[in-house]
This record gives sequence, structure tokens and C-alpha cells, in this order.
Amino acid sequence: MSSSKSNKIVKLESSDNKTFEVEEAVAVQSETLKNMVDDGCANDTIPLPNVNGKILEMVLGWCKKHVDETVTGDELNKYEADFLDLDQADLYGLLMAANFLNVKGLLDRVLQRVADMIKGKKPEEIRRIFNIKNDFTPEEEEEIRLENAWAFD
Amino acid sequence: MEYKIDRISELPDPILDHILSFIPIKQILQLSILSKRWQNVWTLLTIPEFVQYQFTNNLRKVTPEEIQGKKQGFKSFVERYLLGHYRQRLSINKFRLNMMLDDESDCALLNRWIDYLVECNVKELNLHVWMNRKIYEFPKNCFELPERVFVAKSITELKLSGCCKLNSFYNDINLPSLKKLVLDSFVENQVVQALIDGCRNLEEMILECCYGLKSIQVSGLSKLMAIELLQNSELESVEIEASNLESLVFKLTRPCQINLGQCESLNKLLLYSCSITDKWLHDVLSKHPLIDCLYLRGCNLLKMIKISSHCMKSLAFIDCSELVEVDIVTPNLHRLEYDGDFISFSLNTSSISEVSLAFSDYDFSDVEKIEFLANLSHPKLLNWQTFTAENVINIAKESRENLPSPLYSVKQLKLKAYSLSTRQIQELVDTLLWICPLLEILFIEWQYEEAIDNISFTFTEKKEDNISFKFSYENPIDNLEDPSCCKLIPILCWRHCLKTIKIENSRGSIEEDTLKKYFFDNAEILESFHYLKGSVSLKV
Repeated sequence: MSSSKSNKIVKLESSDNKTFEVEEAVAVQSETLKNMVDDGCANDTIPLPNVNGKILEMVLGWCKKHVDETVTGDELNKYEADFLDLDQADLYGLLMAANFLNVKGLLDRVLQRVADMIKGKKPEEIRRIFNIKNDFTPEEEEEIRLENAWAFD
Repeated sequence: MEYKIDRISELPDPILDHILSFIPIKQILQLSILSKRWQNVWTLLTIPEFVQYQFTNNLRKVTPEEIQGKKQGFKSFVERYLLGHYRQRLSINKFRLNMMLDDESDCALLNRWIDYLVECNVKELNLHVWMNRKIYEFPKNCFELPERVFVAKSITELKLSGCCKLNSFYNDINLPSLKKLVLDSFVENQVVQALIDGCRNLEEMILECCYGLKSIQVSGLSKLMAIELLQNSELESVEIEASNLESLVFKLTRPCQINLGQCESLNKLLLYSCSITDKWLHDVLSKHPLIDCLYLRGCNLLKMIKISSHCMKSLAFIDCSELVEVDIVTPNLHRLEYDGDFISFSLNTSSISEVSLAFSDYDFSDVEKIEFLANLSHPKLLNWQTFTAENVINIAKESRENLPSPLYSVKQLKLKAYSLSTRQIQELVDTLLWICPLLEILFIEWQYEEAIDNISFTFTEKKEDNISFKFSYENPIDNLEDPSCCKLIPILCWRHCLKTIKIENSRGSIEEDTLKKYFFDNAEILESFHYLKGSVSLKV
């Protein structure tokens, strides 16, 4: 930890008016918040109108865990695996928040999780899992299959 | 009540692109039939890897026509992707291709793709291509790279492997943005030299299995930080002078002259099978005092290694078969790895934390073995690999009364034995606890063969088994008179201090009772003994 970082507290307000207070070292895991702190805009409560309280709490929990030096590599791996065991609504909320707040490690992991939900599955199953409506006619679908036949075993 | 919302299709393109980067290309293409939004999702790809699969399937017969059809489909797909980017003047950051070329028209196709890529300002270009080996014999089965690649201003990383041929008809080679060069190809010596000379911003260079590479001279590359020269079977001479070079790895297959000029930033040196002499090593180490990681493997001309270094943190001497003496003065050494004989070994350091050992030959006297172990300067963590359990069990078997336990500083010991029978565990533990009399964690790992019954035949499969011991101690209350077991060392051994034991054996292959009896017979103040069968949770 550099000596120039104070034990300053950063205040954040979620879209549903919940306030969170965290140490600056935790908050700056988010590049977005880090820029605000560096620019001197973090003295008052920072409003985050596109992140709700539940999701913000999760994100801050993640940041706290990653700043904690007493956490071992194994513990962190387990934490990350459990962390992402969420339903789709929360997963997307987390995705958008991680993207907006630019918490690098978190965004990667969430996107990997989504990719894992897609990998190895047939298109029909993917449609079912993600509620994707098939708006092709049978002829259109067949045409695409033929065009990319080498990819469909 | 949860509405069935399709959230994933609403995600912005850059995020979708990121998700797709984790998915293999074949499946990405399958996603194009999900819905209209997904139809052209593959055109987003900024990190594609185009791998032409072999298109054979072991479970069902595939006709040659089907294979041809699939190959054609693959080629059209790559063409569509590149043409699309080219026409829309979109940049391509990374492009990886893994493909077998069947004939001249495939070569022409690849040349055209390379044109598109250069026009699209490709940054990272990774080509693993070769001509069909069934039709073309080496060296004709090498794909000749077009000259365009070697004057592309945008390329920052170039990786050429499979069987790419760099031939000598290029004019000026100039790759001003190239930072990383990886070659695993058939090369002509002058071309590689011209390549190195023409990339003034090169930071990392890896030349592996480059047939045709005879000599290299590196100088004037002020940004070069890492060089790896691996198994270039014709390499005879190497001359390197690079002031920012930090890491150097050589893996040779034949004698090669290595001249290291002044590389004042050098801190990592890895030499495999290099015919370097004691003098060469000594000179290099004195000229480069910042080296903190030295790895020597199979350097069979080395006889006496003498190292005196303040910076050295990690050392490895593996399979240097002629080594007879090692004398190391390295006050900041953390890690030592050694695989060889029980030679004369002097290690002067105060900070060693981890030592890894393996011995090729246990046919040495007890005194030699114990002296070697005692000279390891009190590590806390020991990793030991042995082929048989006997080798370890027989250490100082008859002379334990007269020799001091050599490794009483070790708190964690991990032993890996390839051949071990479960009946040997108790003897093995007894020996290890004599060698390291105050262990806190002991982890033993070995292989066993399991017969697998198939319907048509049985065969054996090698599997791993392990057992772990967690020991905790307490100072004995009564004052002991000079106990015979630990009179030669400055501490009281486990027999007097062991309070609790926790054992975990993943397969339950080791008998609890034998161990229980052994410990209760030998540990004077032992109170609690737990034995668990199941997966081992202790990490060493």
C-alpha cells in the first residue's frame, strides 16, 4: 500500500437510495471510482443511479475481499466460485455494474460465467436457458445451417 | 414471479464480444441460428482463433466428400470474416490460424488472407500452417511466407509455426512495431538474422526448433528483454549483447558456443543441456551480478560450481551428471532445487525457505547422505521426489544412534514416491521423522496401479494415492535427562513433544491400527489421534 493513500472513506449511494461507506482502498478497485477520487470528485456521496443496493453490496464485498491481504489464493478462488453462483437476474445486474464501475477482475469472471453457461450446449438448449425467441422461419434457419455446415457436426 | 426475459440478447456488442472470446469458434458459429440478433454475431469477433479441425470422427465413417465440404465451409467462413473486415476498413487486432493446406490453391488463398490482414492493420498474427504431409515431403511441405508480412507496420506480435518457411529472397525486413517474435519454423539463417536486425523495438524473442538456424548475433536491440532459444538442432554459435535483457533461456541439443556480452540487466538464466564449463559459468556470473534466478539442467561439463552472490534468490541444479562439488554463498537465497548425487555441498544462506530434492543414486555412505542433507542450511519446507520408498527408508538405517538428524528445521515435508507399497508407510514415516524430527505437516504421495475391467480386456491404470499427517507439539512438563534419540541435535524431537496427530488418507488404503500403535508406542505425551478417510484437505 502506498503511503499516499489515506484511510479516507468513500460514500456511495445506490439507485434505491441505500448508502454505503467503504475505505478508499476498497473503492478504487473500481477504475470509475478511482478516476473520481483522483479528480477530487469523491468528497461528497457519489450517486450511482444505475446500480441497485443489492448489486452494489455484492460488488463492494468483492472489492473488499480482493484488498484483504490475509486472504489466501485458495480462499479467494473459492470465494470467486461461490460468488458467481447467482440467478440470471442478479448475474446481469452484476455484469452491468462491473462494466460501469470497471472492476476489471469481476467483469472478466462474470463474463466467463456467462460463457460457461453457453459452452458445449446445443442451440435449442441455449435458447431455453436464456429465453431467446427464435425469430427465423424454418427455411431461414435451414439456410444458415447449410451456409455454416462445417460448424454443425 | 420471474418474467422470462431474454437479457443476453440485449447486451451491448462489446460485452457480447468479450463473452464470445471464451467460446471456441465452432460453437460461436452455431450460435448464429439462435435468432436474428445472433445471426452475424461472429462478425464481432476481435479475438478469433480459426482452427481447421481435422473433420474426422472416430465414431462414424465420414466420406472424403463430407470432409472436403467441411474444409470448404471453413475456408469460406474465414474468407467472409476477413473480407468483411477489409471492406469495412475495420481493424483486426488478433488473428490466429491453425490450418493444413492441401494444394497450391490453398497457398494462394492464405496469401490473400495475409494481404487482408495486413490491410486491416493486424497486430497479433499467429500462423500455424503446413502443407499436407501426405502429398508434400519436407521441406516442400513448408508454406512460404509472403514478403508483405515482413514489412507490416502494424504487427506487434508474430508467431509462425507448423511448417512456415522463411526464405532468403526478402528485401529489407522492417517491422517497427514488433514486440514479440516466436518462430518454430524452417528458416534460413540470414533471414532470421535480418529479421532480428530489422525489428528495433523487439522485446521478446523465442526461437524454437528452427531447422536451418546455425548462428545468431543479437546486438543493438535496446528494448529486448527476453530471449528463448529452444532445441534448434543446428545452432552452433550465439552472441548476445543487450543492455535491457532480463531473461535468457537456452535449451540446446548439441554443443554450441555461447558468448554473452555485457547484459547488465540480466536476472534470469536457464540453461538446459548446455555444454558450458565451470569457467564459463563463473565468468558469466561475475559479469552479471544481478542474476537472481539460475537454473542448470543437464549441463554435463560442470564439475565444480562456486557461486557467491548477493542477489541470488532461486537456484536449481538438475541432472548435471559430472558435478562433484557445489559451494554456494548466497545470503538471500529462498529456493533451491537439486537433482543429482550426494556430493560435497556447501550452502551458506540465512533465508532459505524451500528446498526440492531428488537423488539419482542412493549408493552412497550414510555419512555422505546425512552430511549432504545437513548442509542444506535449515530449510522450512522440503519437497522430496524418490523413485522407490526403499531409498528413503534405508537412509542411515543402522546408524541413527550415531548421526544427528540433519533436517530438524523442516516444518513441512512433501514426499513423492513412484513406487511404494502401503506396507512400507510405517517404516517410511519412521525414517522421515528421524530425518525431520519436528515436522508439522507430512504429505506422502505415490502411484498405484488399478486394474480396469473392460468388456473385452483388462488393463491397468496408474492412479495417485496420498496420506497426510498434521502434527502439533507441546513442551514436555518434566525435565528430561539427555534423551538418546535427540542427543545430537539442539532440540527435543517428536517423541517427547508430540501432542496431537491428524491423519487423512484419501483412499483409506493405509491401516489405521498400525499407525496408531506406532505413534502411541513412540510418542511419550501423545494425547489425541485422529484418522480420516477421504479427500485430503491439507495443503502443503
